[in-house]
Amino acid sequence: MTHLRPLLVVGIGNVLLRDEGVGVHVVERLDRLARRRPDVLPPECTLVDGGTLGLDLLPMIEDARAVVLVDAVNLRGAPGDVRVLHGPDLHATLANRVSPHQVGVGDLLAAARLRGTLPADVALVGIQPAEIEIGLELTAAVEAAVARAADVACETAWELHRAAGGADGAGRPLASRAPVRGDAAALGAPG
Amino acid sequence: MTRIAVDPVTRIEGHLRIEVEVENGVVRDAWSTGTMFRGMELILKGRDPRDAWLFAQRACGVCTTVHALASVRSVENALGLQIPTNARLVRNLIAGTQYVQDHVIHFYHLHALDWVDVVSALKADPAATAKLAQSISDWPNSGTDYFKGVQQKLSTFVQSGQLGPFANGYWGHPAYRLPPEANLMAVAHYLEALDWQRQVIRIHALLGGKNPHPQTYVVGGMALAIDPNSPTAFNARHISEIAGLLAQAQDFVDRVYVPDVLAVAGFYKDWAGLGQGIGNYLSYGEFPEADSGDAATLYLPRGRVMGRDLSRVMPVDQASVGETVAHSWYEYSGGDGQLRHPWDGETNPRYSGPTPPFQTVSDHDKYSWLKAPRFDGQPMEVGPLARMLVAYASGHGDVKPAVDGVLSALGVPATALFSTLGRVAARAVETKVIAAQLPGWLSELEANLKTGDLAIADVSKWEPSTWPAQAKGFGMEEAPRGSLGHWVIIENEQISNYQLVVPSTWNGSPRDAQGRRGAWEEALVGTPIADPARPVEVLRTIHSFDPCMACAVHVYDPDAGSSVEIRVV
Repeated sequence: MTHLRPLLVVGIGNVLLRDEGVGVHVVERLDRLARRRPDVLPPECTLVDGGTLGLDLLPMIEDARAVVLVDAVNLRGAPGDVRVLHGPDLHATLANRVSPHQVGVGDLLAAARLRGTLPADVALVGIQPAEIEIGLELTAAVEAAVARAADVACETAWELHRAAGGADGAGRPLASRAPVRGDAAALGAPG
Repeated sequence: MTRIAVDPVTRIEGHLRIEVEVENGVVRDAWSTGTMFRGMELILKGRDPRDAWLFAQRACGVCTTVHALASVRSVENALGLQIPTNARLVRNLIAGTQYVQDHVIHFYHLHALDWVDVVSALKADPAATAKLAQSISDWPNSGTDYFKGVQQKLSTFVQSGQLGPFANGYWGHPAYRLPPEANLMAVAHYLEALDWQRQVIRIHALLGGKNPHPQTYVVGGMALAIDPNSPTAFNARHISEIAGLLAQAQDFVDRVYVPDVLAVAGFYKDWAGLGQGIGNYLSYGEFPEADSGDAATLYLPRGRVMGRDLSRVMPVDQASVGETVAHSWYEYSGGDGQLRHPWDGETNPRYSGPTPPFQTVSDHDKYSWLKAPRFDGQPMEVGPLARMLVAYASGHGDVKPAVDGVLSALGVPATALFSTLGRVAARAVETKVIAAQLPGWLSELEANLKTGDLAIADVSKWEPSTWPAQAKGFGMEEAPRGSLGHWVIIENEQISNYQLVVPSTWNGSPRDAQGRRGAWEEALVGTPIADPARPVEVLRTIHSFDPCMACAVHVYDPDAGSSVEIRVV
């Protein structure tokens, strides 16, 4: 059997800023699920609590066969809304200022792209936050969305696994799919 | 008159915003604003002091290990614990590696973009670039084909239209003075620095169980199983792996980073006369070389240089630190203008600024979420320049010759250090000195383990029942970005007060009750601005402090009533 490079699921966010840390909460839930039922995620899947780290995550990103980021994103929807962003929408979202750590993630992916090491398949599972303020607990609406976001992250991980030629070897680029729009262009104007 | 607002985005360490008033092309006044309330103090109240570092290290993404260290030091100080030799050396290795990694990445990933025109690199002649690279260093990646390949990569990236960190730079701005070949060399070394970093952070993984956050700190020492003869513990194999990684780290610093800084600095010598700032420099000192942890045993000395007077080093006592909220969005019982020591610190937020989104905040009496820290009532600058100046003025055996070497290479006097360029150069000097020091600490660790001493933590005070009913402590540290202090009061086995005074609060401080500016504010006054729509000069000085941030620049023209927004990362 050939060794697969890891498929990375990275929760991003600051857990000291309530909903800002939802990505980390989702990955913690996935970790609990996967401990009970390892087949909930594709083979060779690595869960990472990325916190607010930026470039420190570069080696993990570069070594991955595909990456699912999970993060609080201003989707201009209702608190707890969950959407998956791919391709140009993903990059447009990260290029806009959305939450306090976004620049770090955008920088991270851009550095990998410049080096020519960014995995072809990167997706962002975005969750609409309600409150970004000091505190450890999620708001009720976002707390209620954690389970759904974890399911979406699992589905997305499986999609990327198949697209990267994982289980059946029939890889196809996700860019050919109609992207799920997150109205990225209208996100958080800086200043 | 034109008012320019630089509204940076950072992690919790702060959303930071700078407003600058420009008259006749020169900055006349400046205001530094923390636009985000930091409430770490409130989160830690009532918690187990042994857990404080786990929360504290989440305060900032870039600075995880430094907050962990300051936190455990404060609790150890409160409980009267002295950590074992092995723990001291492991902590020095982690902290020193962090200096080297942070400083190199700060230069290439953030600060170089203020001096290096990335787009101009596309016009460079690869053969001439090779000649230039070979003239400043014997680093092997310096052939024509190598630079041609880098240029190709850059071209592909630029054509993609998604410029990431290079988006909306001031490319083509007349303030950029490097020839295209120097720009291409810098881009090549930026890419190499990312590769280099991959290796360097393995040291943290080996010592800190960092995956990606450090796991191995513990009040009383480190939680690292250590035994040179055990296959499962931290052993001789790890030591030799770290030795190899440290050698690689040092090689890149000596043959790439330092020569690049000198080459770039040569084109920008006028910046040795700009961005002077307050002229008071503070260093808590770092890297204890004896277990007592006495200030006299610190490799980088504790002290102050006041009023740019390098003939005297003044003492530092944590009791002289105080914070005022005269111009900050807090309220003190007993008056906002007083200086409160962190043990008596209060965190009572009371926002009185304009409702966002706003165009200006500096016309308000209170204008920041940052408190204003003062030492003996004086504003201070912290960071690599402050540390190098204190060490230089102390006649430090390694720092003094390294600083003198850089001054003579650039042909500038010691007074050139008090500047924006001085900060850039001091960071490079410090990286060189620490990279050279790290292998020694590793050898000491190896030698100590060979004596059979495997102690890594003092757990005699682990049980809360061994603690006094009330205890106070402080943890002083020199983080890569400057003086970091955590102050804790433990009452009935719980944290009853916890205060952090972080480097960005010293440097980004607003005015105090006497109206004295903070370090950034003061450093910006007098800076010439060629084009208010593209204030790269402001960024050069702010970034020279390494404020752990990326910026959105907001330019405000009150006469036209219009504003332009530019993002700079």
